[in-house]
Amino acid sequence: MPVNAHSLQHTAEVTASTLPPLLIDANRVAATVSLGSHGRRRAGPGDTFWQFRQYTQSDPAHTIDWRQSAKTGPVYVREREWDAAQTAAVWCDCSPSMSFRSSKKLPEKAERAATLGLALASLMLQGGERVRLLGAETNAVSGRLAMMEMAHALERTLANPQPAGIPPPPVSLPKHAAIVLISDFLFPPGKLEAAIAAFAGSGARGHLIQVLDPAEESLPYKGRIRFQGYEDEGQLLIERTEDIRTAYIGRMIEHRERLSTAAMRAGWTFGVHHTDRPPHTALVALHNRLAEPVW
Amino acid sequence: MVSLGAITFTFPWVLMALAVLPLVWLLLRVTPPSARRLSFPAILLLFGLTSPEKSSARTPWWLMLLRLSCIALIIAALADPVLNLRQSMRQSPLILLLDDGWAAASGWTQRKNAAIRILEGAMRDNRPVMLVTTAPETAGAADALTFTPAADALTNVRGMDAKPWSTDRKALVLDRLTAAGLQPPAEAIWIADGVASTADTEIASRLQKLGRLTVLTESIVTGPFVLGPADRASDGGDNVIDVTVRRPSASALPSTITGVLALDQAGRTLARADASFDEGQAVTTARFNVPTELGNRMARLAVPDESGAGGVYLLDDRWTRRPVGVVSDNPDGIVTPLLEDGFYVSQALSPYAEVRGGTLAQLLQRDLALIILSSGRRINDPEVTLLEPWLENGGVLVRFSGPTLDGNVDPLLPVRLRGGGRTFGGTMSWTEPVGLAPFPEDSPFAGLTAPDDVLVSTQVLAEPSSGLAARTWARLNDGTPLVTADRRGDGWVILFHVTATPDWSTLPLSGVLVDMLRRVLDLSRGVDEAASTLPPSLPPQDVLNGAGQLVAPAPTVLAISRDDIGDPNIGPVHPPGYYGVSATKIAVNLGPAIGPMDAQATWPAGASVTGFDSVAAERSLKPWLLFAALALFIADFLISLVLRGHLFLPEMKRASATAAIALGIALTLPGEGLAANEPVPPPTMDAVLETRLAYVKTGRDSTDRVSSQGLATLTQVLAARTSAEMAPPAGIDPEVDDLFPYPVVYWRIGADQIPPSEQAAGRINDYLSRGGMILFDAPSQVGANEDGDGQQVGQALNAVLTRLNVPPLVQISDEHVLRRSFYLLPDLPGRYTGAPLYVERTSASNDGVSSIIIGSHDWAAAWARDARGLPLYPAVPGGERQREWSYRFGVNLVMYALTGNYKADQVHLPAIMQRLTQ
Repeated sequence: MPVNAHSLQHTAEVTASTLPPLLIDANRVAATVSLGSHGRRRAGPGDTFWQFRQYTQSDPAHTIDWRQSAKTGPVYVREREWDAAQTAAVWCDCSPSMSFRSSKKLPEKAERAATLGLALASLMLQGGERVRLLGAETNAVSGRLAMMEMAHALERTLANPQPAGIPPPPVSLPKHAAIVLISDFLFPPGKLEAAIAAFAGSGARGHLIQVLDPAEESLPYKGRIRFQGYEDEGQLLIERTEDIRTAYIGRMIEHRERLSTAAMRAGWTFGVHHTDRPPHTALVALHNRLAEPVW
Repeated sequence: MVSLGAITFTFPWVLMALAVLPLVWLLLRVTPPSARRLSFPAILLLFGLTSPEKSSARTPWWLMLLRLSCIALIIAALADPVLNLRQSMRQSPLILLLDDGWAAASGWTQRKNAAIRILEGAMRDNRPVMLVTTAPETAGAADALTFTPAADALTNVRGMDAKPWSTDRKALVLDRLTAAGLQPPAEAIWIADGVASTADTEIASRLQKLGRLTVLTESIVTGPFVLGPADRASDGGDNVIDVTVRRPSASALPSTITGVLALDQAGRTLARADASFDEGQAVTTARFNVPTELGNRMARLAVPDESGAGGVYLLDDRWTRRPVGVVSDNPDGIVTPLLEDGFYVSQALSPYAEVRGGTLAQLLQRDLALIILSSGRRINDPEVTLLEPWLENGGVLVRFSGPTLDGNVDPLLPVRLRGGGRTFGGTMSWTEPVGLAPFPEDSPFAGLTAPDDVLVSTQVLAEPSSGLAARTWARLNDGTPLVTADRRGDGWVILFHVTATPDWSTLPLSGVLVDMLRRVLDLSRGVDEAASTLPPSLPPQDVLNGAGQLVAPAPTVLAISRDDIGDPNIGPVHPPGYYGVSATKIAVNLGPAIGPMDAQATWPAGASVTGFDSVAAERSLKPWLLFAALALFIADFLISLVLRGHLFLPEMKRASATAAIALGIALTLPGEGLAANEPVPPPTMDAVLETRLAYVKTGRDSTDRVSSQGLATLTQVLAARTSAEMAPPAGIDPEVDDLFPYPVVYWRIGADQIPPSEQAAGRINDYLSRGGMILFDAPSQVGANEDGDGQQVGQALNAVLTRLNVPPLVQISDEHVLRRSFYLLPDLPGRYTGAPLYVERTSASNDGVSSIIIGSHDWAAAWARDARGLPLYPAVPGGERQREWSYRFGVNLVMYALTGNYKADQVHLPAIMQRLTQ
């Protein structure tokens, strides 16, 4: 299905419009230094007044509030609230295997992943956060312009799917950014563990969403089928597919367990979304997890 | 070659390949069907999984059967099976002797089909063919015989017809075969017509020496029958016609009866006679006994079921023409009916004969069968010299009496007359008028009833003489002759002893005069043009073709000279038919020209003699088998696609879908949808849900735009002024759309209007008969149409209307409901005005509402306004005032269509008003 940037953005915004703007817990990103729209409930660079405190020797002289100091005895320093925006990095897997769908009535996995990613981006941008796409870097990181650019970038990627793994954390990624990885994660769990390790090093906190087609969950096929992979995995001839269904489902559960364990170990969250369900369900879950304060 | 019933295999050894079928079966069994391919992202999780059994990896039995039959069909097709293959000398050249004379015309189609099948077989075997026809094609010497490709001979035979003349086997077959110098081997097939010739034995033996001779001939010989000559029977009077019917004589002729029909010009049967042949009898006579009026209409005699010139005997003017001359001294003919003497006889005879008027000299310039001198005057000498030779040649002269008739000097009287007349029942006489006595037995009037109401008051009397009684054909009650007659040469002179006017008797007023004159007319001969009076050369008018039908002569047909007309040499130059110029038409018949006929009975020993049916059509089954194999192959292909999952059948279990495909291919029967479940077409649905006006789409955009805009504006006008609030108008095409939802349909006819097809016309007629209304607008004024003048528009309108059931139309009356259904309208103008408007004459159907309104005022153009409400076309000559009237006409029209004759109920108005005021 050709994916149009405008329609993708539209779907994403419609999906996002049903949720309140996403506010990410500012505490999680105390160390990131960008200025943003939420106060961090602590002193730091910003425009709004935070508190007066007594002058210490390390304070520069220009920070002294002379008027306040003149009213009382000690010398006071005026502090402002530290404003900072959360930075979220979203990765939508657009590899060829994501272009699978078991029925014409269902969207392709990649399309659903892109919708979810953009919806999340839309919510966060409304909340004043900074959003960037992993794997498809955009210039703008905030505002509607960023939304447009991301939609176009995703469209380009969808049109030309490349087998690419989880990109490494970019150098410019602020510390403690929120990482959202949307994929089917149908690759060896070791790859994911390695990727999580790379991101966890930057102090980022991640959220994994596994987008699966229902057919991948239940293997509803029968008879003699020659299975083919999307990305050079090779071929496999199954004589009676219905005979291996139970074994397959067991393997799928096992695989998910490992993914989930890998995520938990790094303090990341893991969720599953099926393309036959509406995207809002996944978005709500993601929203809750992003907003959940982690101390 | 191996034959299997009617099927023969050309290459039977190919059938041995059928032995490999079991091998194929085994091979197909062990080769599982190709697996369905499926791209699956989670294949990683599948690696290492195996299913415990391989039971489904078998080709289903029905698929195997399908494939095996496909292979078997191909093998059978390669063996080239042929249905009804003729066993013949397939390698040697073929000589096809085809009789195409008149005798071959009966069963010509079978002969031709047999020849075509033989030649098709020869074409398949690539045999050279010598096609020999036995009737001369042209006057000159025939071409030498050569072998040609079978395809050429086939083309010749396809275009060949039986000839309406005799065969000439000696010259055309024997001599040419000798000249061709044929060498054996060659196969000969003779499609014979059954009529023998002297050369037959020689031809047959010579052909048989070349190889093999097969004779195809009629299996049961009953004909061919030959008609003619025909003549009026010598013993039966003028109404009896005898025609000779002949058939070829043979040793054992069965007794048979054939009919002979007398047909008129249009081919209607007038009479039928039977010609019965006894056993061994070859010549018989059929006798027609027909009244003169039927006899005069007879144009030909024909043997039914016998197509061919020999079975047709053409009758020419000699048989039918009985012109009657009524001598009138007034060159202008009869000017005062009832008073003039010629009037009564002309009236009496005109239904039965061609009656000419004029002076005697004028009349005798042309041939006459009967001359009536009604004036009762004496004949002067120049007239006598004119009449005498005519009478000698068989003319019949009928004279009436009169005061000036002089029995002593007039030479052309049957009896001598007494001087002066005899009068009964006058005012000064005691005698009564005398009636008619019964007609004498020996007179031509015998059998007629003498009516009581014929009373003779004055007559001329015959001088008594010995021969008077024999010459008297009718008498009065007192025994005096009323009609006397005498022979003059071959002719007759007949005298009525009364006047031709009712002065002397009531005979001219009586029907018996008609009967008597007809009897006299029957006495007369058909006018036979004497050879000397014919033009020296008689060009062909219509000639018979081989099938015995009259057709226009070919350019090669030449005129017959006057001297040869009695015995023309019938052939390609002079085929039988009518010759002469328009006034004289001489029939030249084939029948009398055919000499004695013998049936072809003896064939040389060894020649195989069969009927035409033995040559059944050879039919190669190869293409059919290959086609069936291809169909099976396609079916297999589709089924394989489904089995491999490349072809998805939505909403269906795959297994049942496969079965359905196999079944559907096996029985490609077109399903018949249920009419009740047919979806209503959207335009009809729209029209049903909301009332709207409609116009007929003519296909010309400009015309349709005017109609559309006009009706759209009219709809607005209606909504503004009346309670008829309708949806925007619809354009309909009677070919596809339903008309019934529309109360009124506007049809603007253009010069290039195409008449509706039969289906569309049926739809329109149905619409009209069920209460629909169509306004035909055929603007024929100058400028109304982009191309085409008014005449073309009129023609187009005519062309449309002829397809429809148009009721009788009248010009619209001043009181017509259309003039007062909403507005009171003295005129009904459109863009133009002044032309008449036609509506149905008051009919009981449809509530008295006219289903068709025809005018030419171009109303739609007057109504049409553009989007800004500005009129699009000027209304002439009345301008905007006329346009307003045209809207009013439109409103009236729609009201008329919607309310019917409601406004016609004015008769009740006084009563209603009276009630209301009380």
